[in-house]
Amino acid sequence: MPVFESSFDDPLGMWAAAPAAQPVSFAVGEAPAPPEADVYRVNLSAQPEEARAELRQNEAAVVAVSAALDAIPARLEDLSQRTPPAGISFAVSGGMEESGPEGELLVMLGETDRQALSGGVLSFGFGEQASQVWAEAKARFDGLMTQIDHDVLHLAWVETNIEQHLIARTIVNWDGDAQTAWLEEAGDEQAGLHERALRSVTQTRLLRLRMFITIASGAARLSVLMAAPGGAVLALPAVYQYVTKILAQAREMQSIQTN
Amino acid sequence: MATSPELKEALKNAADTIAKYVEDAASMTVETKYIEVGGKSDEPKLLARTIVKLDGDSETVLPMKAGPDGTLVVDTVVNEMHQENVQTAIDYRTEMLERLLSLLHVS
Repeated sequence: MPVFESSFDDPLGMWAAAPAAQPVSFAVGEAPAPPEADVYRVNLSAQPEEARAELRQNEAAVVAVSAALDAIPARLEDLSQRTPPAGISFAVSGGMEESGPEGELLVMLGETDRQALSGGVLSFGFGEQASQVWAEAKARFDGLMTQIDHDVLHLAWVETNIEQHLIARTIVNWDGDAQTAWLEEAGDEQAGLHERALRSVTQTRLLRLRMFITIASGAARLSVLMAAPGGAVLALPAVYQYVTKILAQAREMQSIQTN
Repeated sequence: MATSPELKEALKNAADTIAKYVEDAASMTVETKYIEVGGKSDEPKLLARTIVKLDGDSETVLPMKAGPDGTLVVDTVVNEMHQENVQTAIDYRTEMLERLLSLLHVS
């Protein structure tokens, strides 16, 4: 069982998706969670030191993802500075060299621009594979928008389990309204663990919003490179893919450093 | 391209929704309860409650217990637990509002 699981697919990659996860009640007769609530479940070890280490791992991932999001606007600004304006489709096909995630981003933007200018849907010749990548990125970006909408409209139902035994639960709204229920037997140590689990959830929701803002502003910044009208909107899936790649690298680096 | 108006519309809708919620966020209530499993009632019992309003007013129901001499004193352990919850909620709300407002700016 994953330590950090949620009832939805987390675009930040920090929580394992458990779509079938249902909120757990402390006791029979207790009011159930609203069906639309996002369930976050932290399954900690019974050993206090191990449980603290599990939380530290997640907290380190939050810091790494946050730092990566901080760095992205400058990276995109640099990229837009060194790329010829309003001619990205020709610059990319003309062999302009850019490596790594930035290179992949330019290729995808170039394909998008070229096909938008041709007035067709993304589905011809060389672009077939890129078209599929674009469609997947767009679907995932749509998923992120849905999740943001959910984060604002619906409650987070946060449960801390120790050895599969529910010890505390907090229901929190985006505007801070919160209800925490403790199992009577929970002690100071367990209270501290749940508090950290709750912070991880609120940080996750905030990071998701930051991710969305980073993508939206990044797409606006790069739209000057595209000749097709509506470039900022067209660029969103490509920038989404770029950002998720950077965040995955950041998590991987952090995981290597921690281990 | 067929998809761009949909994305544009979705962005606009998200911004409109968020603007409405920012307007509505006038107060915040944080409650701490406990559950006595196997007790007389399965309903969570209220230990402490804090209401914080945007105009600066706040209201707190403190957890009390009987002291050694029988007089009521604040249950510091529970109160500390509750204050942690309040601080988490305040931090979350503050940053969320900042991010939502910057999102409106982006959109």
